[in-house]
Amino acid sequence: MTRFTPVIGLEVHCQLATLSKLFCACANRFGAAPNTLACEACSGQPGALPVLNREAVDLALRAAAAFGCDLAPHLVFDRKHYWYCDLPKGYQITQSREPLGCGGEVELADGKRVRLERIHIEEDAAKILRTSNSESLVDLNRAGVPLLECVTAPLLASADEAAECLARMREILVFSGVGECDMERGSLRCDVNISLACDEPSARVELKNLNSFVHVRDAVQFEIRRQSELLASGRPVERETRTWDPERRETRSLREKERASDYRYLPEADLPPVPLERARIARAAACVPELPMPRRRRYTSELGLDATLVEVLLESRASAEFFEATLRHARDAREVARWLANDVRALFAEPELDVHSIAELSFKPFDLAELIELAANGRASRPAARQVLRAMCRTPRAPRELLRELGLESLDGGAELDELCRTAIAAHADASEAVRSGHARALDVLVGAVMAASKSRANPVAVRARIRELLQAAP
Amino acid sequence: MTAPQDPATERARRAAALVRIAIDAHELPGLAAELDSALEAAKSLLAVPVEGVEPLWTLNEDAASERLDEVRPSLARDLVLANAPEQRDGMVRVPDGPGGAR
Amino acid sequence: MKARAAVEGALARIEALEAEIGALLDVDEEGARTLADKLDREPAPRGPLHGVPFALKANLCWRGHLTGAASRILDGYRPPYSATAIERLIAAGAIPLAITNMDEFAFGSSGENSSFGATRNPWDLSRTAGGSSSGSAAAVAAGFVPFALGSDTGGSARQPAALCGVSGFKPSYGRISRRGLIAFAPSLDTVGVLGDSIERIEQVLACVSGHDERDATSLALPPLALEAPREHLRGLRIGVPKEWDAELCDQGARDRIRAALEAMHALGAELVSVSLPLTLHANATYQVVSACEAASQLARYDGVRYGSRESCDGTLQGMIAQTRGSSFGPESRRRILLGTALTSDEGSPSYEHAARVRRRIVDELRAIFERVDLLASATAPEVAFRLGERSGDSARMHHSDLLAVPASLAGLPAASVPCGTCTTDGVELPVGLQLCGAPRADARVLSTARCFQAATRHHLARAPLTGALP
Repeated sequence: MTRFTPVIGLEVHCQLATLSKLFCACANRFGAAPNTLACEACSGQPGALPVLNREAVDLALRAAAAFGCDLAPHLVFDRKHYWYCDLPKGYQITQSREPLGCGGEVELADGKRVRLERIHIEEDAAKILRTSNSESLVDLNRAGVPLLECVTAPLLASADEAAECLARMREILVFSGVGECDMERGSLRCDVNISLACDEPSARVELKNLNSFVHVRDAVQFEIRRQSELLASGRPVERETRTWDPERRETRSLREKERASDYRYLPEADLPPVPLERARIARAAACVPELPMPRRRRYTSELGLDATLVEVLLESRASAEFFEATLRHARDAREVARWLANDVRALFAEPELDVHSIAELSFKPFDLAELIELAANGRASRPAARQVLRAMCRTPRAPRELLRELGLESLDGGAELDELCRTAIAAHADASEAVRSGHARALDVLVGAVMAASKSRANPVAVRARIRELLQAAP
Repeated sequence: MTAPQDPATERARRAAALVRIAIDAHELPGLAAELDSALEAAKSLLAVPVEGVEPLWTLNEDAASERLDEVRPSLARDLVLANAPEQRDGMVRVPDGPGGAR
Repeated sequence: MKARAAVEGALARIEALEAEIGALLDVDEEGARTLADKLDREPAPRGPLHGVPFALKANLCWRGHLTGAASRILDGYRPPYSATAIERLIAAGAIPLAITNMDEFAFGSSGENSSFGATRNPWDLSRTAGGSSSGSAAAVAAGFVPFALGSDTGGSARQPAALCGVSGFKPSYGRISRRGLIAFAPSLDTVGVLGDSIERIEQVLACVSGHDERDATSLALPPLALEAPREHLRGLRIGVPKEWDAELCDQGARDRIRAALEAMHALGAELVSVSLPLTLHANATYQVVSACEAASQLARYDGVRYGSRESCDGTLQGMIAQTRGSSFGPESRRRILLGTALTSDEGSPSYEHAARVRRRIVDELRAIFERVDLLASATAPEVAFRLGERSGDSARMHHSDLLAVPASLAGLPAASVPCGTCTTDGVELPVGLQLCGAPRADARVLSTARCFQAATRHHLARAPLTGALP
């Protein structure tokens, strides 16, 4: 089976994060009641006309800058005709003659660079609900939502590479703010083209409806095996479109691939060409942040963070930027990373806090840095610092003040600590005796008791020292 | 199966199938002849030299206007569905039985 | 009570003559009366169109009304929105009264392709009113309304205006918003205006023109600024294309055009003979471009979201094919098949080739306007022909649009003004003079036509049938 080299390319569709649809002012929103986000234009009424959404173009330009594509001098649209009830006008407005961008690339973790053949803007189709074997229902809310289609060259050679490439494209789009890219909601979708190269390349099979990274990997793996077996037994691979059935864990044939001319592409006369001015392109490019891959390298090699932490930090642009902003006020990158990856993320699981992502945090990186410092120098114990963190979500106040107000400042000494230590020594006579007789580990019992009694406010270092003193002083 | 047809009829049949217009078999030869003569008439354009001439797809090439990304109210659902031949649960219903190629 | 009186007058004339003419598909008596009463209660008129009833072609969407482009595939269709032009007229106090008959989807030059039967010419009921804005032209000619909206993709407003003896105007492409105009060929379509005089058309233009942010092809210009009425045409150079003149087949019509040119000369215009050889290919170019665009534009009529639906085998594709097969009229079907063949490797020349030829024709036309201010010709190469005379003969039918099509390809403004009648087979039939202007020179075309009209007063001639009207 290893005689055949898989030749794999991706067609990725990303819904652009605009407020309104691509060609009309209906909301671009997921989850509304069916057919409540439709107007004469996106429902394909006679006489209705498309008007291009400026922001969709700007987001697409931003994506083009992020991938490093060469841009067309102007934006032109075409009509792609096919017959299905998800297409309100009988054609989809897309870009065929001259895509917005050509070239550009996506970098994989091992340094491999996957070239993009094209990226272009097009409109999404309506959502079809197949309710039985004999009918379908049409919901026009999705019709006309702006999409960015990104097509890679067929340069991927394995299921893992295909899945990784999709993940890399996704993180670039997410970091650039081009789209939300949630595969579960369908705001990121992926088709895969796959053939096997031996003496001559086999027919190309298109895999559709792969709505998770796992499906992409599984479907490609299955398809490589299926095609290898066909070729090995001397049978041809049909050129066709197949879909992944995640339950039966197999691909199956969907329909015969249409000839390109069947789409009868025609220039869209309702939309005159839009010139792409330099200043506009520059503005879009300026919105592209440092991309995840260079950040990943920096975090690993310069900051010495381990891979798991890095992936958590790179989950979103907000997360990475919060991390870096915090770092500007803190000393220890690993400590900051751990706080973000563990304690801060734990906040999102607490329903009463009503915070679900880094972007929704009400405190600032500076505040987090201060809190980390308080914990690092022992002013707040770890559990106390966690409590302060939760308080920071509710009241945007300096951690130092919150610590004091909540009465959580560390007990580093003084009468209260003294009293706690004496009580612990009296209550644990055996352990005290053991320490006196040189069993250092028995000290932990006494320290633990003080920590519990102080509700973790006590500074364990100070406790340890004070108990030793008391035990040495008193007979 | 129908008997093999002449190229003009075959061409008309393919065009009709491509553009989803059901045509009774007895009408096909007449339509094919009409299509044939229309195509023949159009051929006169081939005599016009167009080398180096950009195709003109749209007038007012400088008209291009984009709109701001603002949401305006959509149509009331009743209006969206008012003309639908069949509807169910706030959606347009279509027959979609097996056998039809997508 | 002026608006109400105007509406009642229009309704009385419709009552008297519509049964013979067949210009209208629907009349909104109650809506018009209600609106007229409301307008009459307003303290001051909104403008010159305040209280003026009008008719609109069935391919202009009018919210909640039966504007289905005279096609069975849009049977019962009531659009959920109104065309920008209609919105603007209503805002100016004009009263939409009736929906006019037309060739289905504006495919035709005789009105005979309407699913509801052809409109008859008020000058001779056995003859065509022209097309595709047949009902709009006939409604004005019969005196139902002072003006009507039509559409003009390849002469569809000008040719029927000429054949019915009324004034007609195709504005520059993009001058009037196409939003709500049920498209036939989007790179060619314009809203047209037909009226009892050029002044009336100017009033309508001032109201409906101007940029519409909901039509990306609409010109980014304010509403049309009209020129002051001209006393004479001195200083104007009027080109007379040799090639167009030669296409005039009718001797009577030829004489009327000669006389019209002389009249303009007498008004001070300089007549210049010009040659536009490439425009001889205009009609073939138009046929290819418009058919390709129409095939695409009509893809939305699939029986899914609106209009008629025919089912057969329970499959979606079967429903679509059956609906389209049985609901499009023969001419629509013919053009869709032609456009499909031309865009699917089945036919040559390709759409792209035609689009290149179109560029050459447009360049030739634009260049000529460096030498002349306007082009003058007949609007149509003949007077109204008999209904049925050309059915099924596409080539002869297309001939009717020969002189109108060049302005459409280039998006030029062009008016048709009555220039007298000639006797054909013992009947007086009107002839139209076409004045075609430079790109975006709508105001110049209208002021010239208005001057001609004021001097000749041919536009006052009425169809004999209307003599006994209330």
